[in-house]
Amino acid sequence: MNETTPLKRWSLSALMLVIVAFLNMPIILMVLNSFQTTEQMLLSRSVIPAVFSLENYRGLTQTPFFQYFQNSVIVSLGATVVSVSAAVLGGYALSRYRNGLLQGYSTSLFAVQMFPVILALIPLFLIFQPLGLINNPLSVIIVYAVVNLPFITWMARSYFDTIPRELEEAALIDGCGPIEAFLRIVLPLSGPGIAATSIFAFLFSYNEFFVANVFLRTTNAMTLPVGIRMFMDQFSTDWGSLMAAATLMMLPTLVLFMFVQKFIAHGAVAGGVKG
Amino acid sequence: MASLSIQSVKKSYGALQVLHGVDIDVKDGEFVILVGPSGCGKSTLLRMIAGLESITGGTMRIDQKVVNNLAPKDRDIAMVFQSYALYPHMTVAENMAFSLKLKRKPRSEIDAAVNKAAEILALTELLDRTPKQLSGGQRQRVAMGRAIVRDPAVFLFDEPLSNLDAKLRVQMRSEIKELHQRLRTTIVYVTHDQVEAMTMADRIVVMNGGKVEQIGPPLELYDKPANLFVASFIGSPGMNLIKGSMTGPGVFVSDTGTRIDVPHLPATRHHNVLLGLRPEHLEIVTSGTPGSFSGKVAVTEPTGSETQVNFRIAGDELVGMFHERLQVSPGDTVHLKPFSNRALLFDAETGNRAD
Repeated sequence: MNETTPLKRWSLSALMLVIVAFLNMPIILMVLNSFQTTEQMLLSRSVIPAVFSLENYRGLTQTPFFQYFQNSVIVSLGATVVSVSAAVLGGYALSRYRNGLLQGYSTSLFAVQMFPVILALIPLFLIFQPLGLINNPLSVIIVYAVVNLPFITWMARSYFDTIPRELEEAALIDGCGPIEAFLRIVLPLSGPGIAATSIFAFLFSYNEFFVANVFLRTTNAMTLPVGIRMFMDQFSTDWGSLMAAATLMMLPTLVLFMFVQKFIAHGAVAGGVKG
Repeated sequence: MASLSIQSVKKSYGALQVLHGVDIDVKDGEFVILVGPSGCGKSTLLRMIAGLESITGGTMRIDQKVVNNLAPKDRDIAMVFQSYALYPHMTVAENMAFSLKLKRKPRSEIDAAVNKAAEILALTELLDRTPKQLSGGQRQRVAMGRAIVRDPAVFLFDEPLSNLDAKLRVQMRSEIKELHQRLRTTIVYVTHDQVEAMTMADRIVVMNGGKVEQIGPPLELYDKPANLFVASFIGSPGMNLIKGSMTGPGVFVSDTGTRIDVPHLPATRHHNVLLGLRPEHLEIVTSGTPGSFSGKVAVTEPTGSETQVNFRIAGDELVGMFHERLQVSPGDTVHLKPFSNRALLFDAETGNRAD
């Protein structure tokens, strides 16, 4: 059955490496270029820098980059916590109960997704302004959480659908109330599902440009996608700093993925019921 | 320990009625098995006893107390699920201790109860494992352990053996029966396997189409089925049913013309009846024996301890079960004589007994 020779395996690996390198070329170029100054970059004939320089990274400390970074983290984490908490509760209800109200809610989740967020921007601006929420992370946290909600509620719901009902029924008989059964049995088994929904919610909020560009106008309030535009002027672009900023901006996402990878493993509920 | 009383209990899902008024009384310490084909409402009834399904009509009492609207946790019951339903994120010990922990019992009491149950079920070695590290039979035992630890008023079993292989099923069958003899707790057990029901129950409740067909001890159901459904459901291989009429006192003639003498059978109805004969109530006799009829051997199935033989008699098929080793082969003509005093008569229209 298994006919793979070492040669075959190695050549397959090499082929895979080429494909991965090709697909990730923009990222590789970005990281490599972040280690040379804009001048070197424009003069260079090679992708690999002749001299590795940390000049660009050092330069970032002179800019509000780290302020943006902090804002981005606050906004993304805030939006993720709010939307995932709501999505987990909503998704659980949709997965386990059936009635008219929930039917209406689940339909409206779809309906809401039909409207692009741009339609709501001006009304939102008019609402947020008197409340003093312009240039305040709270405004985008609210918008991101709401925009995220329909999709991640459905994600959470489909994950809960995979957790056998008998486990909760056993808990009900063992002495739990419905809420206790959810907290003690369902939630501890939902790690992979919550991790997946969280990543989705975080990435959306972390990368979002359009809404943030409208509501966050001052340097103190800007998030990274809006902020790093400062390296692109009308007549010139500081490529070196831009590449360094983009490389640093990518790091939290990378770390997040590596961290949650182990949670997104199959088999969290293995063994509980006959499969 | 407690009694369980189910009176005119009904269940509907919208317009669809799945239980049409069920009456069952389970005595304290009794082992009652609900048996019936898929979709007969037996599992729904069990889940209603557990409180996992609401009761549309009627009254359910556990130990004289009406439980219709009580939450599962307030009914003092324990349930073993078909799928085991072990908590995957807890060890065997934690699974078994869960209910006692919720009741805030002292640590020492919990440990003692878990250790005792583990000892009864031979799980002591496995207490630190998680469910996914266990085999099917071990998981089944943990599920039972979780129920035992509770010391509940009533045990509920929902087809607990249907996921096990045949050999393990037979072994667990006697383990459950032994457990009942040891604990003497009231048990309500659901299965679609009539062999399980026959071997384990004090009393069997045969259900069909959301109704109770008959309630009684296993052998009573086997010997005196109230109707055609019970007669054909209980027993393996099933009862032979021959269509025909009673042409005179003690004379049954099948529609295909075979005459079978049943002198002990007082018929209350004469036409359109079914004669019921258990496979083991046939014997092979020599030609010319009074009351015998001839037939052809179609198939023989020896199992070692007994031999099953299918016969063709005119247009009817009969199954016989014999303890002795028979020297017959397919195609042979043999003479059969029924133990006519064991024959039963059914009304073909209503399905009820007609003797």
